[in-house]
Amino acid sequence: MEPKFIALALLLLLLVAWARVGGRDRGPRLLLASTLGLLLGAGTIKVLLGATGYLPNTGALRLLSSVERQMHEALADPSVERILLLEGSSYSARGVDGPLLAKLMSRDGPRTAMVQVSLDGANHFERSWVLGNALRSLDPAEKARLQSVDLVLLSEIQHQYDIDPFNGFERNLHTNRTFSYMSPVNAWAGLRAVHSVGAEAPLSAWALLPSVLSHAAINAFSIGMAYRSTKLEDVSPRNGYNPLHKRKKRFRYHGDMKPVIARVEELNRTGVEPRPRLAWLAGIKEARFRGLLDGAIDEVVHYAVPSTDPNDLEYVSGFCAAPSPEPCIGYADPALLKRLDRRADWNDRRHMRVGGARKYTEWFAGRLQRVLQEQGR
Amino acid sequence: MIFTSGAFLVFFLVVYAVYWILRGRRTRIYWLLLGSQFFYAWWDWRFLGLMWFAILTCHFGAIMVARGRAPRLAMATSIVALLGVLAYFKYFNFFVGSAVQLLESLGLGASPFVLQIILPVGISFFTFEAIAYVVDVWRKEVKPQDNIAHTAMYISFFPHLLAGPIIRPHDFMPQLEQEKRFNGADLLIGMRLFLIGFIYKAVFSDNISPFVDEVYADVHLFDNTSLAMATLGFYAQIYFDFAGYSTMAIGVARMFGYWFPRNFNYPYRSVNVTEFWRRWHISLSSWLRDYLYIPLGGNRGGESKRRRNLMLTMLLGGLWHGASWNFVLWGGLHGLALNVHKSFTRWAGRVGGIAIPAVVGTAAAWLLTQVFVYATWIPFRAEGFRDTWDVFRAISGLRDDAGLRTASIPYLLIFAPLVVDTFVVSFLDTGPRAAARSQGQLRLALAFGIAFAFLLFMMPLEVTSFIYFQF
Repeated sequence: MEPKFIALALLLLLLVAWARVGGRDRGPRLLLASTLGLLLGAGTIKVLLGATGYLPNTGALRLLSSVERQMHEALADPSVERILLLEGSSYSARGVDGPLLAKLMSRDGPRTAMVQVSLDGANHFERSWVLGNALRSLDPAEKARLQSVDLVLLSEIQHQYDIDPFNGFERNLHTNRTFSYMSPVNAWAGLRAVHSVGAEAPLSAWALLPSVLSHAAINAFSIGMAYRSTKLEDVSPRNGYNPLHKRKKRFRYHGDMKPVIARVEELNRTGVEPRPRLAWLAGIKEARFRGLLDGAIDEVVHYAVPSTDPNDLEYVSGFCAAPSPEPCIGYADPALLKRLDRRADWNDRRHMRVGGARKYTEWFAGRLQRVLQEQGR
Repeated sequence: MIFTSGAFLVFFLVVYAVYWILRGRRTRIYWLLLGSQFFYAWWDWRFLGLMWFAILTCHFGAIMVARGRAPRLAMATSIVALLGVLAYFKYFNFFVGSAVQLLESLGLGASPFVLQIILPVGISFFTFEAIAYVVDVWRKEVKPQDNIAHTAMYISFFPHLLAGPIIRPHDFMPQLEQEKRFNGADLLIGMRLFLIGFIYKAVFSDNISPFVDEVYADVHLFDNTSLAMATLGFYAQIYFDFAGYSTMAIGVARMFGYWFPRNFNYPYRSVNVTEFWRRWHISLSSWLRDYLYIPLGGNRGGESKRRRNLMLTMLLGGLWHGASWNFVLWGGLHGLALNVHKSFTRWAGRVGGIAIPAVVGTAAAWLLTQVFVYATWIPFRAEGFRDTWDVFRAISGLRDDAGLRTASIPYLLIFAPLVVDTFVVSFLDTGPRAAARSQGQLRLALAFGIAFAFLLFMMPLEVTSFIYFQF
């Protein structure tokens, strides 16, 4: 416990012990006043933490530090005409080589910068927490520049994260990680998202309610933040692209991609049944990103990173087949998948190694370039 | 569900709001009773039956005593039943284990026989309260309750249920007959006490405990300074932990319109061990006096019997804290010190006092008392006699600590709260003073709310249980 907090606690003890209590006032007014005091105190702490640059000390801070740096660099470079804002989970953190993507996009099109908000196990709410904090660090000139540059949001499609908006929350329950992003606003949006998913979601909004509320309260009142916060400048940045060089222990690749390729070929013959897009993805997820960026997004492109899990393929193919004005880049390309049918490309069933990421990124850059050209960009 | 957890805050808000919305004394009592059962069941619902065994035993025991049908037998049966349950759950394995060890030390082989028994939380507290009720009815100090809900409230009212203070029937039962009115005084007094307790527990004790736990987990690894400071840390921790919990309990009860007696009165100000026991865990020491020391004979029968009674009381009081010989040793040392102090006082009275300046005498007495209290926390905290002896040797400088680890010692966190609480807060806390005016009260309520927000900010999220839960 830092000396300043010990001093504060002692001061509070002295003040409370000294307080003259009693009197004949009616309770309700006092109850209201104390509640108001609690809210006022909590608000003051939030403001003080924000003003002094303290944030909850979680692994996501390393990504935040990198995202902030990428943003400042992109906005400071006058030659940058386009920014790709890529958001995703571990699939894209392992599978999309952001710097390579920016390089390839710049080679074949306008000068492009990359801001990669990809993090292992991060659901939408954690990603938007990272992005929101990064955006807060922009000065007015940078904000204005963000409005003028061509901003493309690359939004990940992933079965688990889409049908379970709180994916990862239960797994990391009562950790600094979940306390940090579960603000009351995120809690409310998340519960609405889970409710809108309906029976497909692993847990109902009602089942999640107690733990979500307790996290939101801890977040709102900054409970224990004296011990679980740090300054961003004390954190070493970690890029959103976080390649894997080795395979996972006990993982053996036995041509796992072959059934996926066979299924893609079958779908190409028979056609894909469109899957109605989950309402929360547009109504909450995308809308929140648009809100965070204050309308700066010029284009939204959905993308999916390949995996050897056939369920992922079914979901992505159905999602991309659904009619939508927003382009969708799935991975149902037998040529790509055949290139990825190598043991050296996989860390486990769902995550690529560095070699696989390179192949996919090169393929993805080509597709993205074409899609953006089709959109007149 | 402990007072510094989120679950408790939600529970409290619901119970509190509904309690004051409800109309009528009885309805409110039933509501509090229901809330209290939920509170206890939150920990382990299976032991609700055990608590109700205590409630039923003391309720019907008291009725039989009052009706005059073999009252002594009824009282004795109730006490034996209550203590029997306590002995089974708390001391069965301890005594069996000790007997096996004794037989083995005598060269007689004995197979260890241990039952998997969970210690029900709060059992020592509600058992003592139940005994007090039956005995007080027998002594005609209180009337028996016809309504079992009142007895159940006395035993299970949630603020004191898990870790005291040990409530006495003559303090509590009459309050059940009073109509409660929602008023600002009770609210502010309750909030003030809750905040003080919260600072003690959630800010001071919970922040000191990791250091103490680390060092005491393996006393052989740490050097003499670390052990001396860890013991001082425990000296601070146990006080802030237990006094904090008690103070919060008193505050919570007050917000419902119930008054609980004070349980701690700045014990580290004491200048002798007798005074220490008048200031430390007051509800236990007065219970032991009234239901153990006096029935054993108290001061009657001469000096040697008085000494014996005091020693027995303190040994059993030590054992009450837990099934371990270390607690017995702790109680025995305090019993010895109480007897020495009584003898010294008598001798000093006979010789007409000691010719030293009052300030020097008081300072020396304070230092001696606190060093003794500090030293006796060693067996209380250590795991077994071997660790106790090791810590004693280390602190006395009798142990070579070359090559041993030095822990990271939070000096300021240990010293500052102790010094401020003992030498400043204890003098500010002079009991009820002139009440604030209406505007002042509003500002005070606002300030309490702000203070609570800052305390939440400083509360570690890893909620540690109260030390006294295990007792």
